[in-house]
Amino acid sequence: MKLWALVVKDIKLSAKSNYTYIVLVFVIVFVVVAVFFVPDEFTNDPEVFVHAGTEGLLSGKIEKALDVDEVVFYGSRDEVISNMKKDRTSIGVDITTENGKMVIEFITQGYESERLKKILEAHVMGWAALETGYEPNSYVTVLESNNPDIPANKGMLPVFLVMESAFMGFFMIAAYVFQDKEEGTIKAYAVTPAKIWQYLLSKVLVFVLFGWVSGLLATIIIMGPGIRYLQFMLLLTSASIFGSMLGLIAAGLFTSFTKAMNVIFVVAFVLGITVIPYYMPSFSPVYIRILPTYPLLFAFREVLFPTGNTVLVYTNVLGYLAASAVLFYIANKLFEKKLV
Amino acid sequence: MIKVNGLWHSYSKDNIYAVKNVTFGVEKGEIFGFLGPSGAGKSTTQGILTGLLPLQKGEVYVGGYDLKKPCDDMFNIIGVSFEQPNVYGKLTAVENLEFFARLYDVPVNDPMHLLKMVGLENDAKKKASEFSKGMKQRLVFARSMLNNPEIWFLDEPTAGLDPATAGRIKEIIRDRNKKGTTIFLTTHNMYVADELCDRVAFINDGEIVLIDSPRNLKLKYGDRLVEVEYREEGELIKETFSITDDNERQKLTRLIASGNIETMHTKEATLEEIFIKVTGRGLK
Ligand SMILES: Nc1ncnc2c1ncn2[C@@H]1O[C@H](COP(=O)(O)OP(=O)(O)OP(=O)(O)O)[C@@H](O)[C@H]1O
Ligand SMILES: [Mg+2]
Repeated sequence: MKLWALVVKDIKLSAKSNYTYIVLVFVIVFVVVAVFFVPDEFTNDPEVFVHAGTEGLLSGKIEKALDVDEVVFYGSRDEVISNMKKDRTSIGVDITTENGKMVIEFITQGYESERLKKILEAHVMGWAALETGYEPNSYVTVLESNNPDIPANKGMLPVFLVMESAFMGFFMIAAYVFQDKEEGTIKAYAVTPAKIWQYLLSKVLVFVLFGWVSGLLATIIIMGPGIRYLQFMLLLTSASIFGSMLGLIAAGLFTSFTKAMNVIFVVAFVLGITVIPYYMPSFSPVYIRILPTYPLLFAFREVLFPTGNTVLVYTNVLGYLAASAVLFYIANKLFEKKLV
Repeated sequence: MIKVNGLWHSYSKDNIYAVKNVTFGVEKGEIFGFLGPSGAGKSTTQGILTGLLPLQKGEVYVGGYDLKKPCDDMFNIIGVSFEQPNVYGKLTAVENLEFFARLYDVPVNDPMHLLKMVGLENDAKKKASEFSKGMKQRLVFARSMLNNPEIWFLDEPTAGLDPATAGRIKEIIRDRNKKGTTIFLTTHNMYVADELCDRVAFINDGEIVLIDSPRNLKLKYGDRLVEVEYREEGELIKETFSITDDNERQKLTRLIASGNIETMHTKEATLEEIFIKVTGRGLK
């Protein structure tokens, strides 16, 4: 089995490579940050922006009752919302009266945890009943309705997984092929009866393995055992394969890492920019949404925090596998034409 | 075993050629030397013959395989030793050989045995990156023997080696040749070419200038000279006579008859001198 000989060799080489340790350190740092440093909810009480659209006596009572540090009053509901958009950790409350009944509207950013919302609601409702003698009606308005309930630290995980699978595969595979070119070992390989596709596929397999180890490690620690691991593995695998293929193309087009550097960074930047609309859905122009890492981020989120959109996951898996097949074909042609 | 006809190669794919209209053939069991100065196009030619560079123009057959239709099977019968010490620095010597051994479809030599042949048995478990240039060179050489090649391409196999080690390598080359291996040897070292080759091709500026056996070349291009030291009236005199010149030959005969000669050597032209004579430039 020539392919097996290649895989064993590539694993041996990567076990002795600094790149591998950089990736490992990256995984560890990410996990530590996610587990210990980014709170899974806002432990500092978030600022509460309030608009009290009530009149007379009630208005005075509200202001007096809510005379605490975290509460800021604004003159209108619109002002509350525009200030909430500036301070993404804040929560809004709009109090009005309707037919003599107090109505409380909770305005949330979309990514507060369910627990925090419950606490806030219970708190405000309890206060309202106690202080004003009214039994208020309440409802919740969410600013970004497509933000499911994701704690901040877990919300970072899809970004990490995209980095780790697609990105690392892309960078590392290019780096490894360029090293073979530099050492000239690729020439030594070329004068053996083994095939180019075996050489390329071996590299891809090794980085898929890498993606599995680092992706699984981080996900198990952060998410625990309760997620859909089959879907997760399918997505992780197809993303790693796709990233590796891009790396092979880059490595096939250039003779050395230095020459490929600019292109590699441009590609990395272009693919990385999709993190912005992931965090700020209000900024998601078409030219970013068509980038391959954009659907991938949301597919990972769907796997980790399901909203029932399983189709999204499987379309991604199939899409990346199909694209990879095409890229693999191109990479083979590139290397056949110009191996050294 | 090797047939090259009207081979041209341009790296820039324009009309600047690194190899121009090269034609030659190598018979089975022959050691064929490719001799020329740096940049002459030796490695380029070897690159095309071993399938590393695309065949742009001309005909090339290696062991019966047409290089126009590349076929991985050819690599089971050829061995290639590179000028550049291209080994996996992060793997040990024996790991390097073991990996490559698994890529062949034919029986292979035992890596340890090969390392022993080139004097690396004690460094087998050392990482290749810790090897000296000469050690890497020998590892590359050993690797090229893994599949017992029928046709063996050697690019500067002794460059940078000390005389003893170089001698050992030359011994291996002669030995395998005796067992029937055809050898294509690229070098700019005329002594190596002279010692090992049945025939040499002089290549200069991408063109083959002439092809012949070292012996014929010397006979054809070298003046055959005799260097004599003799005593005349107590004084030691050193003189060189050409044996192709009638006058000088008669003078030499008289001198031998006089019985005053102390030392006498035949002096033949080196391949380098012939190369300079033919191309007007040296091999360096
Ligand atoms: N990869 C390359 N790209 C462009 N030109 C090249 C390349 N390799 C070699 N050349 C050019 O082709 C010509 C022949 O080079 P080649 O390497 O075949 O010489 P050589 O006879 O092997 O020399 P040396 O004895 O130094 O190894 C030189 O002019 C060289 O500059
Ligand atoms: Mg050369």
